[in-house]
Amino acid sequence: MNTILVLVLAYNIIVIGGIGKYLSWRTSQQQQVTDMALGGRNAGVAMFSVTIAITYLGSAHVYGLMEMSFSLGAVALWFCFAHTILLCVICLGTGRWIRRTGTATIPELIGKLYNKKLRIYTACVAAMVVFGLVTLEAQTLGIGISAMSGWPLGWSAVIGAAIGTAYVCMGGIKQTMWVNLVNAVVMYVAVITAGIYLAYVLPEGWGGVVQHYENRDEAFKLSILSKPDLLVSFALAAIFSVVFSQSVNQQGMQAAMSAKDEKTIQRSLWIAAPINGLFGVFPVLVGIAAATIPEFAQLGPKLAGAALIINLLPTWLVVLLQAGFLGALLSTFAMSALAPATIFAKDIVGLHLKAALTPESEKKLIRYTIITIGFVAALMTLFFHPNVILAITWLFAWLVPFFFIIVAGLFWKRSVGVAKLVLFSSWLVNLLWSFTPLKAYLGLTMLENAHVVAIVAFGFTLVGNIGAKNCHPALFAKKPKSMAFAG
Amino acid sequence: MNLAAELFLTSLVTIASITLFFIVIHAMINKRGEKK
Repeated sequence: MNTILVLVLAYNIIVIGGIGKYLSWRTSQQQQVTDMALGGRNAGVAMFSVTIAITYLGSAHVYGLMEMSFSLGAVALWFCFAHTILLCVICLGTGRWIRRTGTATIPELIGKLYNKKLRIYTACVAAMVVFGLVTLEAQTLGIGISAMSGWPLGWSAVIGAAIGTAYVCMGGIKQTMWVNLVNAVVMYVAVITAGIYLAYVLPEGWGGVVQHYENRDEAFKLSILSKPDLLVSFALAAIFSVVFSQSVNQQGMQAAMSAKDEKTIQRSLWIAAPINGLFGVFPVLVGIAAATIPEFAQLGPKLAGAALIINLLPTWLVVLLQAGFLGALLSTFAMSALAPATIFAKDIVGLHLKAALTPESEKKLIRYTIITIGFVAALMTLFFHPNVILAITWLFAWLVPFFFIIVAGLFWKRSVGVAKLVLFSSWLVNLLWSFTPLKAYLGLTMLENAHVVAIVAFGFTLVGNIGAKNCHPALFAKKPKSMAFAG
Repeated sequence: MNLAAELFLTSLVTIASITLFFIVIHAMINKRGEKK
C-alpha cells in the first residue's frame, strides 16, 4: 500500500473514530439517546452552513469539474454557481419552509400536505432514488481510493462504502456535521495551498497556460462567460437541473430539519454559499492547466487532472488534498445513506406502527438500515460501474415533481388529484425519455430528463390547480404574515 | 494578475452577486407580504 493512501485513510479513521467516540461519550454522560436523524434539532449556524455546503460537494465537484474544465474551460464554473443558486433557494426558501412545518422527511411533508397514500408513494420513490445515489457515491469513493492505491475499482468502492457507513453509523447526523466541520477546514487549507503552489510548479506558470489557449484561438476557455452558445447550453442547463431536483432532496432537507430554527438556516447562506461555490475554482484550474501539458493531456479528460496533482505537487500536499477530497465524498455518501434510512424508519416502518417507535428503537432501526444500505451498495458497486453523470441525471429527475407539488401545497392550494397527476405523469415521462426513442421521435434530444420532467411537472401543477375545485387551502395560507418566502 | 487569482476573484464576485440578488428579492417579497 502506498504512503499517500495509508496517510489519507489514517486521517479519516482518526477523525471519524475520534469524533464518534467523543459524541457517544457525551450522550452517555447526558443520559440521552442519540437522535440519528435530526441530532436533536439544535444545529447552529456553523454546523448547519458547513453541512449544507459540503453535502452538495460530491463527486461531480471533485472529479467532474476537472473533467468538464479540461474540455470546456472556465465555463464549467457555472456548475458551482448553479449550486450557489440552489443554496439561496434552500436557505431562503425550501429549507426554512420544511423546518417551519416540523417534519422529519420530505414524504412526511407530502403526507401532511396531501394524504397518507401519497406519503407512501413518495417515500418509496425517494428512498429508491437516494439509494441509487448511495451506490454512485460508493463508486466515486472507489475511484478516489483506486487512484491512490492502484487497486481494482470494485474493491476500492467496497472499502469506501465501509468507511462511509462507519462515518454516519456511529452518531448519525450529529457525527456527520462534526466531521464535516473538521473536513471543511482541512479541505480549504489544502485547496488554497495547492492553488497557490500550482503557480510555482506548472512548467511555464499560469502565463504559459494562458499563452497556450491564446495561441490556439481558444482564449474563451479562460473566461466564465466563454461563448454565448456554450453559456446557454451548459450554464442554463446546469442551473435548471441542479435547482429543481436538489432543492427538496431529502439529504439537504434533512440538514435543514436538524437546524435550530429558521433564522439559523437563513443566516447560514452567507457561509454556505462561498464554502460551496468557491471550492470548484481549484478543480477547474487543474483541468484547464492539465489540458495544456502534453504529458497529462494525453491521458484524457478523466485522468489528466488527477495525474497533474499527483505528479506536480509534493506528497504532503497531495495527502492533504486527497484527505479533503475524500472527506467531501464521504460526507455526501454519509448524508445519502442517512436519508433513505430515515425515510424507511419514519415513513415506511413508523407510519404503519400503532404506537410510535421509542427513540432507542428508532436509533437502532436507522443504524441497522444504514448498515444494510452500505452493504448492498458496496455489493452492487463491486460488480456494476454505470456512468455517474448519466445515472445521477436520471435519478434526480424522479425528484423534480416533489418541488412543484410542495410549493403548490404550501402556498397555493392542495388538491390530491392534481398532486397525483403531477407525480405519475412526471415519472412516466422520465421512464419514456430514458427507455423509449420518444426523445429522438420528438426531435428533442437536447433536453435532458430533468428538463423535460420539470416542464411536465410545472405545466400539470399550473393547469391542474387552476382548474381544481374543492381543494384544501395551502398549508401556509392560514397565517398571511408568514406567506411566500416570508418568515 | 495570474489566471488562478483572476478566476478566484471572478467566482467570488459572481457568488456574492447571486447571493445578494436572492437576498434582495427575498426582502422585497417579505415586505410585500407584510403590507398585505
